[in-house]
Amino acid sequence: MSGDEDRLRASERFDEAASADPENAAELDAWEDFSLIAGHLQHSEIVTLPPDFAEQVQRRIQDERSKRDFVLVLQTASLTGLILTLVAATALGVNWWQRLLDFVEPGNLARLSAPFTFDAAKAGLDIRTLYQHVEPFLHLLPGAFLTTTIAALLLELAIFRLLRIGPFQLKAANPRTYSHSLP
Amino acid sequence: MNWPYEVGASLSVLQGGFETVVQQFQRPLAQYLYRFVLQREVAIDLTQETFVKAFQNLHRYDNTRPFSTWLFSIASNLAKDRMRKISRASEVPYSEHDDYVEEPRFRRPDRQLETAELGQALEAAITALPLLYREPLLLRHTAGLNVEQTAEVLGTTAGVVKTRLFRARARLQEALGKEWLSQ
Repeated sequence: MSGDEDRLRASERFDEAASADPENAAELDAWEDFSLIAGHLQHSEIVTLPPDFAEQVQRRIQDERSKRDFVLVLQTASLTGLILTLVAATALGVNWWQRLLDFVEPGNLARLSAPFTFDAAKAGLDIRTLYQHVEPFLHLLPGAFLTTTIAALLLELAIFRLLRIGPFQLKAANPRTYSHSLP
Repeated sequence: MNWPYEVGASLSVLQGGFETVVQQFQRPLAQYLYRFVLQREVAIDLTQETFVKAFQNLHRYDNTRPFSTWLFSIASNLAKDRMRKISRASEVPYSEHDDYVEEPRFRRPDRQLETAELGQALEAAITALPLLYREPLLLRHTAGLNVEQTAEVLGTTAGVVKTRLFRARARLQEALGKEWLSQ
């Protein structure tokens, strides 16, 4: 055990014993009249705050609130995005992305678009050309979906925050704090 | 010292009028924190941090207890945390028992000292007190808390607080001279 700890324990034991001493208690009443120290501690100004200190505090409170709101929104959005992705994966099967790629094969799209066009062969050709153009970007699609989902959720939560609804409803006050009013 | 927010301020009143709370408590808080950490910039930063933390946790404030006690508890905890961080950075262990390195400059001052010198002598003697005795003294006289409230902030009993105040007085008497203090 360190020397400091020993001293602390010994002092605390001594404090308890001394506090029970009626002579000390009587002397402490005199301490209450020890006005020189009390007056000095109460009235001397040894550190001066900047004149705009109150405004600085208000600004910092606003900053802290904005930061906290942003973190809350980001956490909620990320979590919701993750859940939605999991739900989609479960509902569609874990190989949903592969199946989607197969589905958007040029041949399939041409077949599907046939009822809407007079020239299926020409339509198939156009889709093939289009596919060749977009193929390098296809691997970005999952990320784009996720980003769009998160962005949509962020927007939604920002609107909630603005309107103070849903998770942003004003916090219910501690019931004990309503039992009195400021004098 | 009587604060308008002593007891019974409701959450809505405190939230609505937090600027008034800042105006009301900024000076005593800054003086208390400066005498606690003995560094001007740190004290100002901690004063700001105390208000921010208090505002963020207003819903936890129990208005059956004095607001000043709650606020100074936050300040005390923040100051202790900061002292520990500073101690860790400087690799000097933090202890409430440690005496401040600087000795009082006026050990037996002349009874005819000017007011400014008197203030300096007092300040030096107070600063030289170990934190264990200095903190109850500051809470009692700078923060204006009574013995029971001081005990609540320090997480101890009123008896222990009285004993620590008694010892603080004895040390101040020793440092400054009994006759001089009772003038």
